[in-house]
Parts: sequence; C-alpha cells; structure tokens
Amino acid sequence: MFDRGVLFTRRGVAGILVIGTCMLVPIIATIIDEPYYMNLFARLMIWAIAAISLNLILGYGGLISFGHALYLGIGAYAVGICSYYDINSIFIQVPIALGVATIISFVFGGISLRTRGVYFIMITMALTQMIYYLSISIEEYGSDDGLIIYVRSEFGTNLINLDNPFHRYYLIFIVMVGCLYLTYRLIHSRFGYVIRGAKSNELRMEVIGHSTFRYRLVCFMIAGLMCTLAGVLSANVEKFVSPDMMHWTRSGELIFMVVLGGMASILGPLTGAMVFWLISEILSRFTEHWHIIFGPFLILVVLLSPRGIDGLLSRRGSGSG
Amino acid sequence: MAKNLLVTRNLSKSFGGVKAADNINLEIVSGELHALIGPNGAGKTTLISLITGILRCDSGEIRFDDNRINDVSAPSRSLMGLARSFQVTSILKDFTCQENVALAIQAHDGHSFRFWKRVSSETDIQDKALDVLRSVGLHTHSETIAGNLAYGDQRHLEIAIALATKPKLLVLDEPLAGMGRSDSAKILEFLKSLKCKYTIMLIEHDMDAVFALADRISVMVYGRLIKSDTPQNVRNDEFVQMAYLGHDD
Repeated sequence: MFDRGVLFTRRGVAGILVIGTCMLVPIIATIIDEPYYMNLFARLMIWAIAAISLNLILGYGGLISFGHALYLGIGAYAVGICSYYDINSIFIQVPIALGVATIISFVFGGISLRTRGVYFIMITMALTQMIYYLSISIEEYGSDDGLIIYVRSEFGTNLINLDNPFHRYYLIFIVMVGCLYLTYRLIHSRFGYVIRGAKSNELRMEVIGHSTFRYRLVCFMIAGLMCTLAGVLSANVEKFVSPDMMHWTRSGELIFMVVLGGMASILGPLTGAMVFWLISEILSRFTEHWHIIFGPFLILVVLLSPRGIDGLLSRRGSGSG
Repeated sequence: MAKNLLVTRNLSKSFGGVKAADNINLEIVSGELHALIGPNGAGKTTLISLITGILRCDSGEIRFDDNRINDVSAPSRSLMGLARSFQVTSILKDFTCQENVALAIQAHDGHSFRFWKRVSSETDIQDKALDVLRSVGLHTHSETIAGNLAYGDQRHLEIAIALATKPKLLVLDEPLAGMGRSDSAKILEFLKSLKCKYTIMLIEHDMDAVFALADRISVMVYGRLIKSDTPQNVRNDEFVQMAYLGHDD
C-alpha cells in the first residue's frame, strides 16, 4: 500500500487536492447549477487516463511514442462500430476493444521498439497515421465525418447507467484512480524496475541479463490497453467518434500533458492534463489564435522546469515516487 | 588438466576497412586471471564486446563453458555466467546503489514479468544485494543515488553489479582507468581478493598492476593477438617488447 509519509509532502497534498477536486466536481456543479463543468472534468479525466498510460512508456520507459492517440481511437471506434451493429453491451464492447488493441499494440510495438530515438518517434507516428487514414477511408463507418453513437454502452443493470451523468462521471473517475494505482504498483514491481532501468541505461541492463525488448513490448501493450479504456469512455461521453481522435496532433497533445505534469511521476499526467486544458480554455476565450501563446508557454515550462509541475513540487532527485 | 572456460577460434570483426579483431585465437583457463594488454586502438575493447555479445563477430567462433555462443544475445550470455564492466563507467545513475545491485540479482532470478509486488519488500533480493555491497565495502552507501557517488566508488559499484550476477567469467575493461593513486590501490587490493574466486579477464594499461595480478597475459596489436603466455615469457619476448612494452621505457 501507499507509504503514509508520502501524503504529507507537497506532492502528496497536491495529489489529494487534484484527485479530491475530481471527486467533488459533480457535487459542486450541481450546487451551482453548472452541469457544463461536470462534462468538462469528465473529458479532462479521459485525457488524464490517456496521459497516465502514455507516461508508462514515455515517462518511465523513456520512449517517445508519437502515436499514442491511436488507442483512444481504437477504444472509441470499438464502441462506435459495435453500437452501429446494435451491440451495446459493454461486456462485449470492452473485450473487443481490448482484443483489437492487444493485437495492434503487439504488432506496432514489435516493429517500433526495434528502433530508437528519432526513428522510434517517426515510426510510431507513421503507424498511427496509417490507421488514421484507414479510418478516414471506410465510408461505412462515416469516414472523416465520424460516427454518431445513438446508444451508450449498457451494463445491463440500473446500478450503472451511462446515460446518467453522475454514473458516467464516477465510472470515469474510478477507472482513472484505478489506472493511477496500477501505475504505482507497476513502477515499484520487478517489471517496473526493468522498464525504468532500461530508460536509465539500456546497455547496462542487457549486460546484467535483462532482455529489455520483451519487457518494453509488454509495457507498450499495457499502455495501449489502458489508453483504449480511455477511448471507450470517451465514446460514451461524446456519443461520437471521428478519425480526428487519432490524428498525430492528438498524440502530440498527450505528450505535452505528460511533459507539463512531469514525466515519470505518478500524478504528473493528471495535473498535466488539467493544466493543459485549463490554460487552453482560458486562452481560447481571449483569442482565436491561442496556440500562438500556448506554444511558447509550453517551451518555457520545459526550459524552466524540465520535470514539469511535479519538478516544482518536489526536490527529490530521482522522481520515482 | 585445467579446463578452458572461454575459447575463441579465428574470431574476426571489421569496421569498414579496419580489422579490429583479426583471427583471434584466445583461450582463457578456468580459475586464472588473464590479462589483455596492447596499445590504444589495438582492439581490446572490441574483443571483449564480441565475447560479451554487445558486438557480433563477422567470422570465427566463440565457445564459453563448452557451448558455442556466437548467436547468443548479450542478456542470455549474462545468464550463462558472463559479466563485464565497462571502460567508461556504466551504472544506473539515477538508482540507488542497492537498486543497482538488486536489479542484477533480479535478472538472474527468473523472468521479471511480476507486476504487483514491490521489489523493495522482497527481502531475499534486498538481503543479497546488501551482501554484495558489503563485499565491496559500499554497504554504507546502499541508499545513495549511484550518480552521486565519488568516481572511485562508482567503479567499485560497477564491479559489484557484475559480481551480483554470480559470473563464471568476469570481464573487466580498464577498472583502474581515470583513478587517482589511492583509489587505484584500493581497486587493486580488491582485484587481488577476487583473483582466486573468479575467472577474470582483465584489460589494463597499468603494467605494474597487470604483472602483479595476471596468471597469463595476452598481447594485442592492430587487431591481432601476437602473444599469449605467462607474464615471465611475455616480459622477455622481444617482439612484444618492440611492439608494446618498449614504449613504456
């Protein structure tokens, strides 16, 4: 379980604040009668789940995957296409989504992990763009207009009904917290040590007997599956899927969230996703060309605090907790 | 009769037009400390990279412990009992000393597809790691981030990592490189203590250290192994003196 001491550090307090906010948003939104915020935070948490999953390979594994949004698309399209054929049970949709994601992440990971550095970035991006163009070309499923989902995923019970915004919100919240806890367990396990060790010094790891490739591949797949769940949730929030979800700029945004929050920190992607959204929301109210301000801002963050928001919160060197 | 732990037959490796290893026939006898000397650029590091699987040979054969290992990957060679240290210190700089050693022990304790249990609570691994650190005198630094250690201690740690894999053959690439006098003496003492316990292949430029430690010395010049004999015979060999030792005077 968690070390108690962790809770009383600045990082711990920030973590409790961020997760606490997510937990309380529906209540506050109801009190002040602004359901908009509930939807905003639901979306935000979905982005956070995607960023948390990317953090596994990017932050802890040191591999800059520029195609991670692919798995958002796989999750969302699994729901969209299933519902197109009137298959609405989540117990069928999710296994299909995870099954497809497993195969694709295995193949794509197997190809891309044989390269390093810039080549890895390029090949992950290229493979994702391939699926992006595939999704555009299939007219049956709406091509670039996307696919409207008329019925949300069904649990087959009234206890969880995704048409109810509260149920929807807290399902996303639980999945997100689950992903955070899974990350926490993973990085401290034998598996996590191999992944982090390979980031630190791959040659050293190989020479002491770790075949890093297969561990990285499994890590790549776990990250892909986690992100697929975010896609499934996204389809249920938006009731709409489109190829845009998989565009490489989306993958780039995910990277920014991770870097902004602090690579290789458990809560970094969540705070990163929040700050990313808040700033883009605020800036876009002032000007249509908000990217002009946002871009330099991100560069400044990277220059001033290479370890992102997490780096500002903690002074410990290793950034493992 | 003493057994050959490592044998290379006509081992060759070229980089472009340069023959870094040219028909190397090397035999390392089990239990011995075998030093490899030669001028800079002679191909010593290339040879041990071929042996440890970081480079693949163009032709020839490497046999370790009676197995042909040409096509065996570096990690698998480590699991077979080959360990190495690098000329430029290669440790996990942002992990603690204990974590560095524990990762080596973990590698030799089955696969690492264990996703849930904390490594830090696996007392078996951690106890062993502490034991190894104690054996090199680094146990007081067990919680120190390896990158923050003094240079000499980092060299010690690197050897500790190699030892943690319980090697049959320990390949050390210039363990004294860049060391001050007192640190050198410490490592030398330490190497002496390892001498009887492990088969060691040592690359070193410090001739005093080499002649003090080695049971057998091989001399490499321009990718060729020109001599492999006892220290006495190597010292007296005219050709070796001309090619290499002579420059020392």
